[in-house]
This record gives sequence, structure tokens and C-alpha cells, in this order.
Amino acid sequence: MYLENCEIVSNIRVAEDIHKMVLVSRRIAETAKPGQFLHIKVSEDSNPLLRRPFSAHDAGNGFVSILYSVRGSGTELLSKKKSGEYLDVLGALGKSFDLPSAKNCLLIAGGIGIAPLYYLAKKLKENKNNATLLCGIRNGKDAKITEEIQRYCNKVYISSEDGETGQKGFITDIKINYAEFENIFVCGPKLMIKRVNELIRDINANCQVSLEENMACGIGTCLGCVCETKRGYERVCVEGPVFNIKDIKW
Amino acid sequence: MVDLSVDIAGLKLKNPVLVASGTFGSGKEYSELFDINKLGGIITKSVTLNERRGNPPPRIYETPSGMLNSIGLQNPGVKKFLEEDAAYLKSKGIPFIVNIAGETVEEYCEVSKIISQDGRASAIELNVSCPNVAAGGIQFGTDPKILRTIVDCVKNVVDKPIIVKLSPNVTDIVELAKAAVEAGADALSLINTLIGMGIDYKTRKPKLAKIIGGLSGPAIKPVALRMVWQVRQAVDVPIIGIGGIMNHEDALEFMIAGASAVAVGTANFVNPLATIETIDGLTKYCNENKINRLQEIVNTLS
Repeated sequence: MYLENCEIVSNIRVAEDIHKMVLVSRRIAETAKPGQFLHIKVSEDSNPLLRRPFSAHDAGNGFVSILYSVRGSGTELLSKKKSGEYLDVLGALGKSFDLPSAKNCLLIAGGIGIAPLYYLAKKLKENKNNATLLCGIRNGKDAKITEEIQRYCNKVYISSEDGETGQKGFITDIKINYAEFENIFVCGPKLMIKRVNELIRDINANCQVSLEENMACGIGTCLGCVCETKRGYERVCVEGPVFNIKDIKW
Repeated sequence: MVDLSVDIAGLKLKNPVLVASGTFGSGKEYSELFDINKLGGIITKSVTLNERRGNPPPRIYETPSGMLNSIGLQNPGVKKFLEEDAAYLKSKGIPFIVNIAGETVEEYCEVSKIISQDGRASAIELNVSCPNVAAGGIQFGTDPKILRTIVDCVKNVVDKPIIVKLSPNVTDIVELAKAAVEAGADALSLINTLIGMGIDYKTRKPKLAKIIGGLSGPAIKPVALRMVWQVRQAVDVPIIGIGGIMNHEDALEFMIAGASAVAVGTANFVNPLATIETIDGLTKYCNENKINRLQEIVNTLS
């Protein structure tokens, strides 16, 4: 892991409250793997105090990027940063996705959960996998976030809650044959993950989930960001963010 | 050449900057970011006799200039701690102080004895003030009689310096400080966290799973400073100041108030290099103000 002062290349609003930020980075960009996250200091002072974790949306060639939704004081501040400003970034942190090769992969994204799956899709394609994408968004205004990832996926299904784009309803309503896929990757709201867990209960796929949790240290020392798994309380910042879906205790 | 060294009840540290219990692990993680051998010392996460799972999440919640935590003393138990963490710390050669928590006086004594007999730790810090434990913790540090009992018992079974970490959640911290010192405490560290809570008004639920938790960070510095100053006027043993220290300026304030050393906690999460910058800042301050020995400024509030 590295602590880097990263220059902001761009910070653009891509959908209703979703922004994409590209940062100059050397060592973090070189080492970041899909599924890992960046722990970013969003304020110059003590308010808000803590860093905010964002999954690596893309990394390489001297850049890292994040895709984030504005939810509170930290992300609000982040959305106002401009190109040329600098951010204090700690990364890349956490357990990355296990990458298969030459397999049928299913990616399931719920809203902003698409953030880490973009970088994943890129690497899966590099490793000669076939990726099918299921992406659920709230409404047509979010459609932009589903565009870029499609070039790395063979088949794409979109759903929106209001039916403006793709099928109306939740992404887990879409009828596909989950058993076709040897590897499944999920990121999105807890309820969506729970639903996926039920849908794949009887199939044999290796299903990895990226979780999120409020964090303080981000590196495993404060024990603040735990989730419950079969092994007890595990840190989303070290034993995660990527977990096997079958290990999670609901 | 500035002398930053300090002697805390026989424990000789090369500088007065330590890391607070529960914020630094045993150093493995942060050692990837800076040379942890530069620290004056490390205070470890609270260790109990048996393994503790800790509290269900959510365990943390950010507040203005601070944060609440209710971790619940998650730790692997003293045996595993000695096998793994103590071995690592000893191999690095950094003085480390083991923070001990317990649910009964007997547990404090037993764990203290085990740590002392093991021999590798430089000192013991008694966590009598953790507010997150349902049984025990909160009582010990708020009742002078019970506090005396623990310190007395531990004093009999260890041959290491005993530091008592005081709780601020009391009416008069001076009363507790005196009790600890009279019972044999070699030094005091203060403050532990202030008990607080957060509420989600949309769901009408508490922000922490266990409802209440400990407040730390810059928000508590004024309270911590006040208590260090009050305790300094009342007792003679060395004091380790804790509470919202983010930089060398904060550290200086605590030393002027009466602390011989300081422990940096929450700041590590915000700025992993906070401790190193604090040490460098103290050196620079001494050079700029022609101070040969940093300890000269301890307890110099005019």
C-alpha cells in the first residue's frame, strides 16, 4: 500500500448524483487490482474527519479513477474538487477479486455497484473470459454509467426501476440461467446481494461479492468495519471487500 | 542535538510520542507506510484473558471533528497475543506497552501476571475505563475503591511499570487519579474516550449497534487537556496525555499542561504519518526555541 498525493485530472458528473474522478498516480495505479479500494482524505482539516473508501473503478498507465455517488458531507466535498487540485490517497487496499481465465463470467451490478465491476470487466476480457453483465439502475438518468463497461462484455442486460431504460424492475427479476456461469461477481445494495444469494443457492458457481462499510483506518487496525461471516467478524478492509457470497452471514 | 527522550517510571523512551491503544494494531500495517522504529513506543490493543469477538456492526460513526467507536474489545486473547503480536514487536525492537482489560479484578491480575512473566513488554497499561463492555469496564474506572483494588492486586503480581488509563466519564478525575497513585500506579494515561451516541433521524435508530460508544478525535481535546492539567496539579507520577492529538502543536499543549509523553490515536486513521510529523515537529520546535531538552516544557503553564 502507498500514500500518494494525487493530482486530479478530471472530476465529472456522469449521472444524477454520480461522478467520475480521474487521478494521476504512479505506485497505486501500478499495484491496484479489481476489487481493491482507495481510502481518500476529502477535507483539508478535521471536518469531515475520516477518509472515505472508494473502489478502484479503473487503474493503469499512471492513472486511477473512482466512480462515486454523492451521499453525505464527504462525497459532497469530493464532488466540488477541481482538476489541478490534489488529493491525499491511501491505496490500493483490501482483498481483490480472484480472476479466472477462459470462463463464463456473470457480473451483477446494482447502481453505483458498477464502480469496481468496470475494472474487473476490463481484466476479465484481458484474461480471455466471456462476461455477461446484469446492470440495474434507478432510472434513465443513470444510464450513462452503464455505457463504458459494455465494450468488455459479450452480453448485456439492463433494468431500471421506472422502466425508462431496459426492463422495468430490479436486476434480479431478469430471467437468465445462472447455472451457465462458473464465476459470478456481484456489487450493489445489500438487498440485491441477498436476493442473488437466494437465486444461486443451488448452483455451483464461485460467487464473489464486493461489500462496503463505513471505515476509519481502512487498513485493518481499528476493527471498525467488520461484517459477519462464517469465520466470525471479518474486516471489510482486509479480509474484504471481496468475500465469497456463501460465507456471509445474513 | 535536541534531546526528546523521556523516562516514564523507569521506562526510557527516545521520544515522547506513542500510539494509543486500539488504533495501531501491533504495527505491522503501519510499518508499510513508515519506519515504526521512530516511534517512542507502541501501546497495543486491549488484551483480555480469552479471545473476544467484539460487538456487532455498525461499530463506528463519524461525528463533527471526531468519531464514535464501539468495537467491544475484539482481541485474540493474551496467549495468542504473546505468540504473534508480542513476537513481532520484540523482533522490531520497539518498546511496547500492553493494554489490559478485564471483566473482573482477577482477570486483570491474571492477564497482567502473564504479560509480566513473559517479560517482553516494557510496561502494562490498565484499561479500567473502556465504556464498551457490558460487565466490568465502566465500574472499575469510575469508583475509587474498586480502582484501588485492581491497582493493588496488579502491583503484587507484576514487576513492570504500571500505567493506569483513566476514564473521563467521572465527576472528578482527580479523585480517581489520586486513588490509582495511592494504590501504586507508576504513571497515568488520560483520557480514554468520552461516552456518546449518534442517532439516525430518518430511521429513528441508533448509529451504533450497541447504541453508545466512545468519542475520540479533535473534538475531545479541550476536555483531555483540562483533565491532564487538573491531574498534574494533584499527583506526582508521570502522565501520558491522550485525546485528539493530530500534530506537534497539540502535543506541545499537552506537555505544557503537564504530560511527559503523549499518545496519538484517531489521528493515525486520518493521517498515517501523523506520529512521524509530530516527532519531527517537536524537534523543529526545540531547535527554533533553543530548547535543549523537550522535557523542560512539561508542566509549564504560566
